[in-house]
Amino acid sequence: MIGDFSVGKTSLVSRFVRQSFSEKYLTTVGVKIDTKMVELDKDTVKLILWDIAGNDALTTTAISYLRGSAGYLLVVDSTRLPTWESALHLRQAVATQIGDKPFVMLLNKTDLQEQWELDNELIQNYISQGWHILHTSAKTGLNVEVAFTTLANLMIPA
Amino acid sequence: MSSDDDYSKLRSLLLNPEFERFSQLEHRLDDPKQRVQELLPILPTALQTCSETQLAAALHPTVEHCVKQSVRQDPHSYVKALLPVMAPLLRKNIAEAFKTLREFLGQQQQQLAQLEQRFEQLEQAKIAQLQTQVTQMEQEVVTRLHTLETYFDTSQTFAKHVADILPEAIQRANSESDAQGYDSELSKVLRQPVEQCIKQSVSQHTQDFADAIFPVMGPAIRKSIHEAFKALLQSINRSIEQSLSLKGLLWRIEAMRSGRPFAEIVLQKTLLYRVEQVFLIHRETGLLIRHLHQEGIGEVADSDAVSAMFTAIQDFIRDSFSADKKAELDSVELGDYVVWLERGPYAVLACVIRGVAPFDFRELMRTLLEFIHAKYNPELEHFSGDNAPLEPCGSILERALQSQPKADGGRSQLYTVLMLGMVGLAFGGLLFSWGYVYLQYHQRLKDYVATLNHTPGIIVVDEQYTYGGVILRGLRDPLAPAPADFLEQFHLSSDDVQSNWSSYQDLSPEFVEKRLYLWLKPPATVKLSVRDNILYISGLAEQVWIDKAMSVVGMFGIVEVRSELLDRAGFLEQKAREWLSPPNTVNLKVLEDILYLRGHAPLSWKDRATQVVTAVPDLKQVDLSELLDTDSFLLQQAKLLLAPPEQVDLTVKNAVLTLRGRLDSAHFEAITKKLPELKGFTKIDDGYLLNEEQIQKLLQTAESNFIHFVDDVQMVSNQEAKLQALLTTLQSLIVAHRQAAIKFQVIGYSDGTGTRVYNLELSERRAQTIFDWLIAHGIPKDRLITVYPVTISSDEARPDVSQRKVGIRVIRTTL
Repeated sequence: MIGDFSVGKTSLVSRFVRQSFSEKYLTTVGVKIDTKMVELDKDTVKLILWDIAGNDALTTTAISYLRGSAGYLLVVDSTRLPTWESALHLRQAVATQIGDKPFVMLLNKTDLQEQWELDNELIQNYISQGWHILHTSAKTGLNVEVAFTTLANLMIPA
Repeated sequence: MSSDDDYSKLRSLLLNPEFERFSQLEHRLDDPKQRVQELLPILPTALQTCSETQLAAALHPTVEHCVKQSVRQDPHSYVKALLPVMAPLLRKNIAEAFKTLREFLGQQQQQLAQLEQRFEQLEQAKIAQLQTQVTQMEQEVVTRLHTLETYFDTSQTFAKHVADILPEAIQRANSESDAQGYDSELSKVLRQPVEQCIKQSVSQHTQDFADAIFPVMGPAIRKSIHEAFKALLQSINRSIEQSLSLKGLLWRIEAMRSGRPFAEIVLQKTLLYRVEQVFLIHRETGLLIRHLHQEGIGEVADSDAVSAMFTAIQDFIRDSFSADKKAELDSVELGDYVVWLERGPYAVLACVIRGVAPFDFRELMRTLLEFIHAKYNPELEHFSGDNAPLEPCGSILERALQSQPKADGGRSQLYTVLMLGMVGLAFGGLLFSWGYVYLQYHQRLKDYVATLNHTPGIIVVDEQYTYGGVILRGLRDPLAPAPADFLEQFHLSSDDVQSNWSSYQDLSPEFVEKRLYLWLKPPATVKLSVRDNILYISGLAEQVWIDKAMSVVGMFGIVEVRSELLDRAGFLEQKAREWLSPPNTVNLKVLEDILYLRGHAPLSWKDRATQVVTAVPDLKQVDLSELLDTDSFLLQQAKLLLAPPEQVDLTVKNAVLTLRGRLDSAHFEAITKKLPELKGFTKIDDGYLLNEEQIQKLLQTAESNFIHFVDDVQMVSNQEAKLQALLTTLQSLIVAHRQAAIKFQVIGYSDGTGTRVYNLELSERRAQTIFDWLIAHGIPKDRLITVYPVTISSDEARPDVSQRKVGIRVIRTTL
């Protein structure tokens, strides 16, 4: 999981994954590992989820954590436009590091409709480019399962 | 009304400033911020001024509660440091205190209100009075206000006042919380400051705290040290035990060589280490390839998450602490555990070890990792999450899941096995021998009891076998043998057997007899026996005793007494009979102590019979006058029966009848026919009883029967029949002559021509021919003999052909 500070990465997952380690790992080690079982059409897949501490740019530690990943989730705080920018930058950096791995972009905090700051047109643009973008809410749980399922389907070789 | 106006004006004039001041003061007092501001500086002073004991007493329960809670909930931070002393923030509490103050002020206000009323009342009164009164009031008020102001202005007094009420306020707060059962606001608020206070205090006065805590912690620490040392001691003990073994000596050498203390070597070599978990982690992705763990270990929460986190931590540590970002994490120590990591190009092997692992375990890890890389290189290189191809790694990794005390080589293992085996054998042998001994003992007890049970007169009713022996209950006839007598036979002692015998009378004949003997006390000449509940008495006894004996009917189960008692004569007879054991040809009788024997008996017996007097003392004499010896008797019998003529001589010796004599046929036949009728003879020898008539006939035949020869030793042609006839005759003669000796002379003759010598020799040869023939045809050699003829003619001119012959002469010995 990649994203800026406080975009809701941890909140997104905390309800839906198996928590083996406590939150403080994020602040100490910079990553918190969780696991999640996802049921797909044909099989069941176990996702090892590396929740990387939030940053607007890619840190060296994050880079090493990214190594070997099969895919990633890009999280954006819909109520803060700067996080959208960071996400794009992060995406670039990640792509440089690990190559063109499948990813899903999550526009979080959808429940806070009135504070929406993102440009819908731009979003559509990216969607048409082939990006998988979902509106999620950690609070309501909207689309969280879908997010994982989508990513899992993308990661499994066809 | 002017006075009213005046009054109000005056009132307002006089009181306004005061009101102003009042309201200022009120305002001051009302404004919590202001109040707090004012309080803040003086509070410490107040606290200090406050009587220590009072304050302490008041604070005590709260603080105690706080401290306990705190320590319980967050011991770590608490123990780590005591933050600087409580900041001045007894807000809420002060609020409470101020509530009191407020009340107090409220009261004051009330009083002032009352004053107002009074003012109005005094309106009626003179203004002057009022004035003075007001002045007075004012003054009073003023002073009181002044007091209040100064009260709140001067830190000292304010502080003192706060100090006075502070303990009570705190106590009040406590009691409230107690009543309501929850943590009081006070304790919640005080918690943090108290915590910090105490932490600071601890860091400043560590010794005091340590001293205070030590009595409790001391023993706990000591105990755990003790336990640790015990464990250590145990392992050192083991090592000392082993130090005498070859292994121990080798270790000593190693210790000397490597310079490490012997105990350390021992620890290293004997301490158990246990590899509890093994992780094979893909290096690049942090994904878990394979995870193995010992049975009995709880499964690690989520091994995938753990291995990923592990990878993350490795990265983190390397990035954070390694200057060149090249160094890698090799081991992680964590209490009892240590995690060792070995890196390969594609995979990392992590082993969670409990205890002290030997250094060469790392070698093993390296070897295994290399092996896995060698064998599964392509799978590892292209690993992307699918474990299936690498499933077989498990068997390789199993080798890392060790959990044994180090055994250096098969030798020591063998030694251990041997030792164990020997101990086991010894123990087993011990058990077995003990068991055997015990079984034997038990068997002996059983045999003893069985023997007792089979002994007449002892009946075992109950037998209880215990570990130490047997407890018996039973019945015993007093006349029966003592059970204790049997003990030795079975190698038992009286300690082994506890018995409880009740007496009874056995009614078996054996015992009845014994009892009767004791009861009747028969004389030596009497014999008692009991059969089928009948008493048989035999022997010789006085009449008195006989009567007594007859009276035992009904005792001991006796139903009848049969007396076989003899009178004297009969008794003596019996005795004599017993001693002599006479043959049935002898008749025995005792009359007046004299033994009369009649009949016949062998001489030897007769001789012995004379001794009977000495054998049976009561016999005075033995009369043998009418006792014949058997031989004479038999002879008599024989003569009677056979009625032999005088030629026959009959003798009997030792019951053997011998007949000798020559009889004519008639008599011979008669006697021979009667012989089988003779009885009582052991043998009848009639070998010398001859039928003379027959013999004479035969003799004549034999002697008149010549065998003729043609020439030399050639017989005349038809002599075969003659020879046969001769043979028969001779044989008959032998038979008829029985035991008496009879011999035949074979005499040859010659015709007279030739010289004497020649003729003799020729006759001899002729005789020899016949002799040979007869021998060849069965005549015994000892009965035949060849002889020269009595007369021999020689040199005759003409041969006497009839003399070319051989004849027989019969020689008989006299009887």
